Amino acid sequence: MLLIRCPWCGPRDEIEFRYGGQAHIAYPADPDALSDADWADFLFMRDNPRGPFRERWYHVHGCRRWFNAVRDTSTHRFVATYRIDEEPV
Amino acid sequence: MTAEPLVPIDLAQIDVRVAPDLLPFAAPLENGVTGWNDRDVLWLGPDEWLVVSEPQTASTVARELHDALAGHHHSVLDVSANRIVFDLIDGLEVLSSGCGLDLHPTRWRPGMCAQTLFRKAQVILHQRDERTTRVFVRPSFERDVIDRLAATRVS
Repeated sequence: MLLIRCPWCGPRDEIEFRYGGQAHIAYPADPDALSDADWADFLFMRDNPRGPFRERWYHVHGCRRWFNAVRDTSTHRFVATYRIDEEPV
Repeated sequence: MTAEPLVPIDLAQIDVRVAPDLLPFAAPLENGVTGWNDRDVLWLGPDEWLVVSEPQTASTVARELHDALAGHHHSVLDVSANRIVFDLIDGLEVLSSGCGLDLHPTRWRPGMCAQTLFRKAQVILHQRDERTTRVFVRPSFERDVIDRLAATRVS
């Protein structure tokens, strides 16, 4: 089982967490101005890299806080985790 | 773990959420517990704490908190019915059978608390002294957790 370091609680089993998809996707400043294609792109299209990927995770069975993580998608290794208000590493 | 049956303890539980520097007591560190008068304050998150006090004191504690935090953005909730509480004596080894936390005495010490899982049940663990672990569990999971603790103790 993976050991994931919650930025608040410390290292915990992965079953305490939920995955939240790609991190650092900003809500469009003016959604009305977007074309349908751009809106669909914002809603549905996500990067799918092989290697380090910035993701959101939720410590659902612990402190119930969202945080960000950098995970290597080819090895599942967590390179880093950081709080929502921290700069990306 | 001693063989006595686990008896739920009646306690008042008040959940408070506010910026840490506004609290009327010194905020406990992460995964820690501090005292506030004769009450325990458990760390639940960076802006969330659980005040545990004697039964029938929930409204008194809630009023004290409301008064202290008046004018600030905050939330104070009586969640006494939210979790069943019981004290485990010498139960860390049994808890470890269903909990991924490192509960070895070198890492898990009196004055610490954690929200985690015991098997499929969300629990809050509070280590009160070397031998006593206070367990908070949702009422619907109480039977399962107690049965499982007892079964692990026997086998």
